[in-house]
Amino acid sequence: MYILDTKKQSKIYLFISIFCIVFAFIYEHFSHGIYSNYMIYAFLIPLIFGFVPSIILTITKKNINRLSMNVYNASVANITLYMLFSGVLEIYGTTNQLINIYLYMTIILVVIGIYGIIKYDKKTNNL
Amino acid sequence: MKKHLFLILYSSFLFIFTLYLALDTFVIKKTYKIIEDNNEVEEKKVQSTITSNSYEDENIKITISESVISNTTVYVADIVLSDASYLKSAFAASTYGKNVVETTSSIANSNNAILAINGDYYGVQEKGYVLKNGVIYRSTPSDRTDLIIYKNGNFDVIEEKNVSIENLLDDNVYNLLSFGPTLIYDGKIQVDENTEVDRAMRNNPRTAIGIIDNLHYVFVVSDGRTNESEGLSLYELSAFMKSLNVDIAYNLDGGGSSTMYFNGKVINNPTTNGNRIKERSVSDIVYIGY
Repeated sequence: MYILDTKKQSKIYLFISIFCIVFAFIYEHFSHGIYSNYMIYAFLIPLIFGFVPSIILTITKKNINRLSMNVYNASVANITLYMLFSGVLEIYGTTNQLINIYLYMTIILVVIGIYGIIKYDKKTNNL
Repeated sequence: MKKHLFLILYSSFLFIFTLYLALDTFVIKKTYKIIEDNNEVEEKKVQSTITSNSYEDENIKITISESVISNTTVYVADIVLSDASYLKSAFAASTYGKNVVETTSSIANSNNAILAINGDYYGVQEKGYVLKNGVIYRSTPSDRTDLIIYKNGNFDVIEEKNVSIENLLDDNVYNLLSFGPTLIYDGKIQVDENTEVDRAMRNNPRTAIGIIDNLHYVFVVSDGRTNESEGLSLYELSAFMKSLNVDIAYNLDGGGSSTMYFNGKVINNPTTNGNRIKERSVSDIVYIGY
């Protein structure tokens, strides 16, 4: 039976949030004063959509099935990378349409996640 | 291992995709069109008088001067032509493409340019008009304001969203620069002290082009990011262009791209990070030559 380790997950998300802050600070330090709101606020994605829900799950002792948790975490990773790379592009002064693939993958993952929630059997804790 | 299979697979996918995205954005060269004509440019033999800061022949007169404003060295090339055909643009490696770049001096040398400055770095954008020497290369509009150069040498500015590039070509527009903003129009400053290019810092090396009157132009490049020259804001650049009695002036790619080439050498101090004087490779130039 799959039991989600929410404490470990919350620590990982907190680390990722701090990493985003440090990355943004260092990157913009070497960018001759050019800044990007994507880069500055990227840390909010893992913080609000990763760390906070993990804390809530820890407090409520609620369990989530493995598939839904995996795709949710993958979605947060997608959006975080989208924000960081958008910042890189904005600071450089360029664009690349391929970056939207992060968003398209997130949509696919959300659909899979919803499927996982619908099919989740609470008795067996499986799909 | 099976427990973490999704994590391993998806992390690998994200890593590979992000790496490819970076390579596609900054490294992988894509050739869309090779410009044949530029490879056959021959140096035209004319009687010319050349000094360290001037060039003169029967068709082209160039005078280079230096000024210091706002703790910044500014180079001005005053250009008088007998015909607008001597004001041209050129692509790096004679190729229209993505991530196809060369230094301003290399492009200038390949095209036998007497005088050259870096252009609008079209290659870094996915959208925006590209029209060089009477040929359309990209017709996807952006939200930028462009400088258009007519076949008779006159300047004007247009908003890409308001006019098609095909209409511009029909109206005898010969070259187009898509960077901005417009610095001077009808002799009046068009920027305020808070205007900046996207999210760039206020003081930067700058490149600008202007027209004073018929077939009388200025190319202006400022140094920056060094102890000797801190760089100019767009407003300072505009005020300087106004002091040259420019009718229309337009901002081109600045920062590490800002380069002025004259008579075979780079005459300013191009730098990206202020630590090393070195030309940045760019995708195109504007130049004076045959």
